[in-house]
Amino acid sequence: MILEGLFSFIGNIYLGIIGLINIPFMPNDVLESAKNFLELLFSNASLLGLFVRISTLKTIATIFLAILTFKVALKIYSLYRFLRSTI
Amino acid sequence: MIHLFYYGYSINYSFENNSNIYNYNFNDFIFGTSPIRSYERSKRLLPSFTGNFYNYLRSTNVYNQNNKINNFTYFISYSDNQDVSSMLPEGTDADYLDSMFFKDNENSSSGGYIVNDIKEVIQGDKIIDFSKEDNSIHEDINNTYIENFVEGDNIVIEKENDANIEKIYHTSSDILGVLREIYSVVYRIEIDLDRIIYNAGAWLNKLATHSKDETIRVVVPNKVIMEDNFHKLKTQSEEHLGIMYQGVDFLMFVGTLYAELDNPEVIVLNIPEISLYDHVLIKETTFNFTNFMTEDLPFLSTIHNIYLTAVDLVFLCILIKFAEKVYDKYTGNGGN
Repeated sequence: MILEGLFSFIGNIYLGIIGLINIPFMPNDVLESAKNFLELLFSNASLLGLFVRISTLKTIATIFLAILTFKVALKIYSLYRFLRSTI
Repeated sequence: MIHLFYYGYSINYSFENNSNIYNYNFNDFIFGTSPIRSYERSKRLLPSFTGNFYNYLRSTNVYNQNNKINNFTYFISYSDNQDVSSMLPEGTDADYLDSMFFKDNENSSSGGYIVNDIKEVIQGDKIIDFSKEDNSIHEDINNTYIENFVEGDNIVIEKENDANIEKIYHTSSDILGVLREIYSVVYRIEIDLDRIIYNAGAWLNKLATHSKDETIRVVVPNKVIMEDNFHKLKTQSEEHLGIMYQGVDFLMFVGTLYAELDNPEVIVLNIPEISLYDHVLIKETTFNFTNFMTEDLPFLSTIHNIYLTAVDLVFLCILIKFAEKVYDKYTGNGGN
């Protein structure tokens, strides 16, 4: 009961805040087209398995994303250090 | 003294194979038609009941079927320390008495593992209090005396602490099981807090008297209470956040597609029909590479496997080189 009340309280605050915001929608056709296209790509990805193992690709992609994130994080950290030294 | 026996056999019920987690209520326990799962210290499992207990009992077939309420619940009248094995209904295995699921507690007149006291029981149109010679004075289960108890009066049986509680074991590898365990702990805390608010004294008393109790878990309700609230938040977010919500939704869609990708067991090439002015240039064709390699050209299959491993190796080298480059760049050991 208490947890439910707490959740409702936080939920109401959230609803109050987003009630002030009204962001327009992207046309559904565009979204659906993009989704269909991606579905087509991914469903036919098995053919790619003839040349590269899909699991290898997935692993590579994950590690690649991690390295990119590392780069971005380091850039942010460099910016922070720069600002700290100048101010 | 009348003791209400309810026994059940431990049904070998696999929760992993069934998403329904039982949340017992009074009906399930006492008047249900399903087997009752047995519990240790099931005396504490008397569920809450508010209402006209008299009419409730009358609505059952407790009188006309050898005190049988259902296949698993009987009313049996006996004295303390009396051997009740001979009083069990026909077909009931007396060995149950020796099992942990059907065992009277020697130290308690109110029964132990599967026995509950019912201070009043209905015989005919009268409610008989077996603990009192004077039948005009009755004592309900909360030890509150009710004088001249008649049909239509309400008896409130307070829910014992930790009612609807069951010990659930799951395989630790089952993520759903772990989530249930977490939820059970949360639910348990919720029950305890609830009890503190409404019955602090009783709670402290129980804490003192049952401090050694263990193996108490909560049955997860069929329907999570907060489901509706989450749904409301979701719809409101969708309405107000528009393109932002759609963006996140789209990202999750792509993530799902990505997560579902797996090594294909069978590689099939589908070529659609290509035609020009009613002339079919290429017929619709399906070519199964896997079958072709494994059945027709097994030698090619071996070469293909070596090729795939080599590609893996190349990717690995490229990745290590790339990682090294990035590391060097940002740690000042060279690079641009």
